Amino acid sequence: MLTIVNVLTATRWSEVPDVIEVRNLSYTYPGDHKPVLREVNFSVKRGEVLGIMGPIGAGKTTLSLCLSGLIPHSIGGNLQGEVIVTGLKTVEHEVSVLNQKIGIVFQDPEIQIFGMEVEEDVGFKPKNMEMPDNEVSNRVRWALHYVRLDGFEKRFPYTLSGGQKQRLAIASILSGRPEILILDEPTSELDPIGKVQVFDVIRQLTKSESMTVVIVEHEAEELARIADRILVMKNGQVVRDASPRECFKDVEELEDLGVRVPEVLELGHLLVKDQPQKWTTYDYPLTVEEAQSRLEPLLRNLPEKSQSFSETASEYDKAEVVIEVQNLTHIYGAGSPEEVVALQGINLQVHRGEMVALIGQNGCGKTTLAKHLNGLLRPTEGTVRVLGLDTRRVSAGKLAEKVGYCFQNPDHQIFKSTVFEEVAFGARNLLLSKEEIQARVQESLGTVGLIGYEKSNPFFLSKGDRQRVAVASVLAMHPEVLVIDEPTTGMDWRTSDNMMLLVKDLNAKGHTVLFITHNMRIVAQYARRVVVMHDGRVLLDGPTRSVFAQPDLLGKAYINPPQITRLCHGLRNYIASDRLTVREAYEELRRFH
Amino acid sequence: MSVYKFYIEGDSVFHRLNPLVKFIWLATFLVETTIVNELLLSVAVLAWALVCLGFSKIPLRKLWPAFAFSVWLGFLSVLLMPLFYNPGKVIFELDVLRYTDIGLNFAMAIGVRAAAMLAATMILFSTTTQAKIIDGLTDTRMPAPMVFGVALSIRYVPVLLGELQRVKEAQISRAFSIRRGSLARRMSAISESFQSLFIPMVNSVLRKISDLTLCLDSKGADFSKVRRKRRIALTKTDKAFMSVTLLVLLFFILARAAGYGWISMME
Repeated sequence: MLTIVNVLTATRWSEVPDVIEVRNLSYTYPGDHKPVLREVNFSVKRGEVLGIMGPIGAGKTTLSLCLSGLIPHSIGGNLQGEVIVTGLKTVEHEVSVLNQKIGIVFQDPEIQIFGMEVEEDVGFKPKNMEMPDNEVSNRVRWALHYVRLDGFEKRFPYTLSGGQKQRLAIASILSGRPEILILDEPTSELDPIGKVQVFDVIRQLTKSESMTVVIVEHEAEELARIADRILVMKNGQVVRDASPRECFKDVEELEDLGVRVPEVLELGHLLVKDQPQKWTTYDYPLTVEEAQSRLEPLLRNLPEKSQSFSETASEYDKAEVVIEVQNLTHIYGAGSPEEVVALQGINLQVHRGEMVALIGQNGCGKTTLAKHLNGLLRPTEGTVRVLGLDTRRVSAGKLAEKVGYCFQNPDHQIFKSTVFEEVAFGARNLLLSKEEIQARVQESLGTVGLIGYEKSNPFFLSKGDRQRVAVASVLAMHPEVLVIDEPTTGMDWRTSDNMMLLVKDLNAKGHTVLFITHNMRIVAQYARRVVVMHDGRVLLDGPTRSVFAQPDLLGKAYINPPQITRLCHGLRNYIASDRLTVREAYEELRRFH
Repeated sequence: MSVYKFYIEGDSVFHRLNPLVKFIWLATFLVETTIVNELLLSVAVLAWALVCLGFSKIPLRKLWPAFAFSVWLGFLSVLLMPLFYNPGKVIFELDVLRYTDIGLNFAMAIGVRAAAMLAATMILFSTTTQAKIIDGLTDTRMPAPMVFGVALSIRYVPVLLGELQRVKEAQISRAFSIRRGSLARRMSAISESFQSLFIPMVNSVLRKISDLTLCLDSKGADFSKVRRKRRIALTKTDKAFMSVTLLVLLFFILARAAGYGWISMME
């Protein structure tokens, strides 16, 4: 077992030694001229948890690779300055030496698991460290127990869920007993339950093992809970280095940097800015519990509870039904011993002009349902009608004219050498005239804000722009319904927000939109209706406000409503509990003062 | 639980066999289909494969791809063989094409031997999980880096198949079809279909390889240190099946030594 060294109980941070020192670090990738990191300086104490935030391209991942020694040893490039890890200069020691002190967990859990069995994967690192067999077994047992994967020893890793895979990836690093653990966006590809599981493990590591943790993350709310310090990066430089509370105080500045602060803190910022003398005690809370304990005394003497938003019938109920799903059941591998029932008796109607969010944990059937809407999958039982067409009787190609499907990863579809050709691909498949294709491409590029990029190579654009190219190529087919699968995964807040504003704009222009996401803040902000799926069934379906007002039912689907909704729910004795966004909660609270 | 596309869950004798025994069994098929090239004994090799199929309880339809390929191979052999090999009694003659009894026997045997070999291979993969395959390879004393390479390749089969499926769906969702429009349009669509799958897949695979390399480096991968030591433990069933397998092999070797089952191309 690891020796538990709870350094913080006995000493203050100032007396704790540094285990990571970064001095004047600059780095340029091989073949590049522009440095990705510029004059970076910081240090990390033993047992400290350092969160690194910043927009895409800020240099966060590059910095993690420098700390682990993979830069420069595995990647090469021009590194200037010094990175010292547990007293070892990374440029002077091989990765095989450094990795005994430091372990790194990457974003994609799929790629970092090599073993054919869980225990083999966890034992890989200690075996490479030439541990005796009994020590390897002990470490495997300990690490699996630590990430709560006991009993999974003989499982084939591919059969695990996303959250389990990422915990396995962490276990396979922990088995090397590193002093420092680096996690590069470990939850960005996980569903809500997967995120919770991974953060639980990290929290446990920091508390009971006093491990030094460096975590690159976009999730401000989770970082605020576990990090001792936050480092914000922009253009390869460190622009903020402070405790979460101090760091997140500069709300506007951070938002300009593409970093979104926890909702309860953003609310506090708005209130204090508006009426500083009345809300001083609310100050800058980081968690829902903190916010609630600070607000309750201020709200106790209110004359009367405010009203909830009235629950009227949806404004779309009278509009034409564009998607009608009746008793839909889908079974993968029906009739085989391996059959999987993915959907069971789904009934759903979507009206023209609606903007619907489809949410639920991985494997609950969201994508299977969405793929029925454009004919990529056919019902095993039941019917799916899109604009009156029975999807069993129409080809996917024909349905593509009616339902545009934007995939999560734009790189799965991009293959042309220019943006124009890529966007024209779908329209050309509809056998339209050259003039019509030209007009549609221009129109679509205009809609997604990529006019002027016609001759650019799509592979050289940023991920956000590649996602826009993918959307434009679907829009050029003039579909009436848009299905968008996880449009913001792996994006920073600024890019996500821009993407969702585009989706909102498309909806305003008349497209019926159905999007899949794990980001509840985006659901609260943009969806007018939410369909919650669980175990292949529809668990909840209704206006966003009423769905988020049922936290117990949402809990069944492992969904945590946004922070602000949880705060309002906690204060339901004083204020209306159905506020979805910071702005709504702010308007609600400022009325009382 | 199913671990990859070929594996079929089950609890047959074949599922329970030691993977090393199955590898040896497959190797005997390689020998048998090499030392036999005449129809009658080729059918006997195929019959042995079908007996094993019975032990494996794999539905015959699961082996259809192997048989379909073999039927095509046999058909092509019969069609083209008269051009290259036509000794023996002439059965049918059309211009330069001379169909002879020995030529036809040899051509049909090609299809049957292919069917036997493919069926055996598919039985092995349908009854053996990936982890067991790696165990089997380790037991053959294959060098650790090679075993690890095979393990990695098999490990990422589901990942890459999933990736290919997503790429295919992304193109279908943009109304891509090779069955639309004029003939010229269809021809161009066929060439485009390769590009539309190949480029995103190469892009994805290269990125995954780069990430995988970093992950291996970060864990200090040294394959010589991760050799898996296994004690080979054979059950009674393993030993009995191994004996039968070797007896069958011996039968074909003796038949060949006695001058049966072989058509010499040199005569």
